[in-house]
Amino acid sequence: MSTYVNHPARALDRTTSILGRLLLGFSLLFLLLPAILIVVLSFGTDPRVRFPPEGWGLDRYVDVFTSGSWGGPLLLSLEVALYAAVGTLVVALPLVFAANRSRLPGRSLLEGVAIAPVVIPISAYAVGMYAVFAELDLIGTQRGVVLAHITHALPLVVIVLSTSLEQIRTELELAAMTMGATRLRAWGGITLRLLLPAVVSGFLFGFISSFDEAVLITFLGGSGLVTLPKYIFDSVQYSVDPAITAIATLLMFAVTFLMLLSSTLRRKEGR
Amino acid sequence: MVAPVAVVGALFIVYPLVKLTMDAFTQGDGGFSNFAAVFESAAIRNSLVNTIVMSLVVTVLCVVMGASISWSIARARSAAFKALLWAALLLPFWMGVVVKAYAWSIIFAKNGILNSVLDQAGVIDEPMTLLYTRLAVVVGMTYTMLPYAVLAMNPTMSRFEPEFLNSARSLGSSRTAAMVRVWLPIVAPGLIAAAAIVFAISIGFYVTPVLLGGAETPFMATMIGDDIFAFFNYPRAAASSVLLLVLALVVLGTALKAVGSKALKGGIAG
Amino acid sequence: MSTVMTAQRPIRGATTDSVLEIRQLSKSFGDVEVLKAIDLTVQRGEFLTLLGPSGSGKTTLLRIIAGFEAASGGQLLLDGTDIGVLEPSERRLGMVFQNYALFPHMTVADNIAYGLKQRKYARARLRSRVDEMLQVVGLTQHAGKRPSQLSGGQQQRVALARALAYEPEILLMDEPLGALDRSLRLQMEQEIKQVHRETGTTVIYVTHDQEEALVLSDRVAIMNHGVFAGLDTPMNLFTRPENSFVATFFSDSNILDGTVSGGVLELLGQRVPVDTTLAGPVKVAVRPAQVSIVGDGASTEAVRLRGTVREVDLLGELEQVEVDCEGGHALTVRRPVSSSPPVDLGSAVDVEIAPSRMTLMAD
Repeated sequence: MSTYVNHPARALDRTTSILGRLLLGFSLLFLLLPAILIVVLSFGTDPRVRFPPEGWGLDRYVDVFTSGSWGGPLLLSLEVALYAAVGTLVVALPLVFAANRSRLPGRSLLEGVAIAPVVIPISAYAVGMYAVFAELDLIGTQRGVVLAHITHALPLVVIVLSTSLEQIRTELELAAMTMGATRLRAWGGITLRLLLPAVVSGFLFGFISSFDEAVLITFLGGSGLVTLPKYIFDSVQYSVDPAITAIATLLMFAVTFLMLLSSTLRRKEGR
Repeated sequence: MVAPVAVVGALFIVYPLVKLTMDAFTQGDGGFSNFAAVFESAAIRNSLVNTIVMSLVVTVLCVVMGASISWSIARARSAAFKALLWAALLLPFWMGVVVKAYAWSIIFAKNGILNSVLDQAGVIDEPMTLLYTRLAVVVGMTYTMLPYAVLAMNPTMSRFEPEFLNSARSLGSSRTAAMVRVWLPIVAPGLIAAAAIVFAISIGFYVTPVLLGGAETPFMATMIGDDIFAFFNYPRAAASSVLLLVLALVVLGTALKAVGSKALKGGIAG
Repeated sequence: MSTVMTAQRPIRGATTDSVLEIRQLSKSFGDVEVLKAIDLTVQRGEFLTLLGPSGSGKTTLLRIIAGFEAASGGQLLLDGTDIGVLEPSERRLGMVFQNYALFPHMTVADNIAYGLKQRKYARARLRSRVDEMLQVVGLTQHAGKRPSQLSGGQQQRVALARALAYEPEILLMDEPLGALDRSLRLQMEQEIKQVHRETGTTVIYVTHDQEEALVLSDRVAIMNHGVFAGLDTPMNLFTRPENSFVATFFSDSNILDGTVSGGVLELLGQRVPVDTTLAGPVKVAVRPAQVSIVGDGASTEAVRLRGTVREVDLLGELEQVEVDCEGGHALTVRRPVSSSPPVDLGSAVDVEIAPSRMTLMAD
């Protein structure tokens, strides 16, 4: 038996297997530890962030809601994100239909253009927008920031919608029409109805993408507009407010909850 | 219905890039003078090299760690383990880039967590300088980009036929040889697409280098921001931005040529 | 070639030239017992087919032999040495996979050369061996193509050549013809048969298709619920099934319940003398071709039933007639179209089974 055992190959396999596991374990810890850390630290009460915390409590959460400095940025972020999410859908929906269901010349280019910003270095984009916004007097305006965030969210939302639309077969509309439905009713009753979970999901993606965005707002927000990420960015840069751990934890859970919601919706649709 | 979309698309997606490029060549002294100005500045030259080198390191780390996670997701048999992998992946994905950088600044600070843990373990006597180093920036950026890398590879990894490995093993390959000779070449397009996407996004990073790198290791984006807000030198900022843009497009174009549009689009669409 | 073509290898009996011996092999996935203490001896050079419905354990058995799954118990002896602990790469076996698993990034020639390279063949020897294999499977002109540029049948041939190139002790084939259409499947059956004759390699072949098993095999192991329901030459299994599972699965037999006492079989209320050692309740298998639809002329020794024609299906040379008989029994009859008087749907007919055509089984 031993004559057939390839000892060097087995030793190599053992080594690579161990290395592979170590790599995976390291990668998982790398991804999870900082997130867990933030959550743990948010329940500390020490005046400065330290690990492990000496006192435990909800002081930082209380601070977030009572100190007054977080309220403004949070409200502005919510408002901008809401407008941006709605605006992104208004642009993305017709675009996705045009690209997938029409015979327009250059329809695939249309989708390509909409998806492109995701791989274009964001700071280059920010500068280009800065120049355009300066021309249009949009710098430091809420409208401008919403528009920028629409551009920023568009790729993700287009991808979500178009992946779903591709799975809804045109035959369904045709079938509805053979049974006497008008084209518009077939479209509204069948396709749009089936696309609804993806639309909700797209809304959430747009919302979160805007809610998290920190670069465009820095270039385009002027000095007056401070969204939550911008506020955290500034406060981390110049001082460390421990309440950040609490707000970050809240954000993490809120966003995770929204994402779970959206993926549940889309999975339901998939069945 | 399509008309307003086209207008918005043209105005806010394409026009900024067109205007940026035109401005880079026409503003100031025009021609290539703005680009010359970029390269005359030792600080910007330095930051360009910095940006490229560190983005490359981030790309390599993301592809290696990402391949490990993505492959594990693709072949995980237990649903619980699969869920853990997805959770690990998506939790930081939605933390927000600022919060991610903040988490690492707590870990890397002089009196931060890593130093105190190492100190208590007796590994070090003096706290190490970790924050505001290249290491901190690379770690923070890898943390941000790793989920993108995994999402970009997932379509390729999930399509990989596990029977290929069994086949190679029955033909006489060890597990390791099968991975190197069969798995690696077959998933390579997915890895290349992921690498191109990670690199293209990385070179535009602004928040992470500022928060974790400080003034020591500026990225191009930091210099661009300074040009606009501190030096009011918009033409030079435009030229720097065009450089980043071209760099991203060249890398993506090369990848596109190497692996085909399907792998790349699959990578972007996740 | 012609000399080997006539060689009919001895299958059972005195020869002890066994290449693979499986002893008490078992396998469980959690609580599910997929293989239950299997014993099997494979003779050198034979073509053995593992036949069974899906979930019968045949593929699991093959994958345990190949080394992709570990057995839960038992032994696996190749030429007398225990290979249970060896890696697939160390087992000296060749395998053809269900969807071929040809490496998409390599040419046909590189695919065939893969196993040779792992075995460190010198360059010249490797090249001549690859050429030889290409010739055997008739793909010399396609050597430089990628698998994706080939048809299903050609891919199948590459898979065969790749697994045989390094002269493995045993060739394992996992439903290799499942992905092909019927006419191609028939052609590939002949090619596999021919390659088996030319190379003399031992083959263990997994399929759920009994016709394939019938055409290809020296012996067939019929699997059901993790055990062998029957293990014999195709002819013996076909004509003398051991039990009703083999009879239905392998030869589509009609199964009837009867009782034997004192050399007389009581079947469907009729009594006929039979030659059997069995006694008490028995199962009676009758192949569809052995049931006849008869006119009025009665043969005294046969079991005879009245029935109604429910369905007539044309199978080609044969037609299949489903007859609902008195007493709630349904019989399937197969008969040559050309030499049989036609029957109409719904018409009343007499069917007859001669005792010599019955196979009596304990279960």
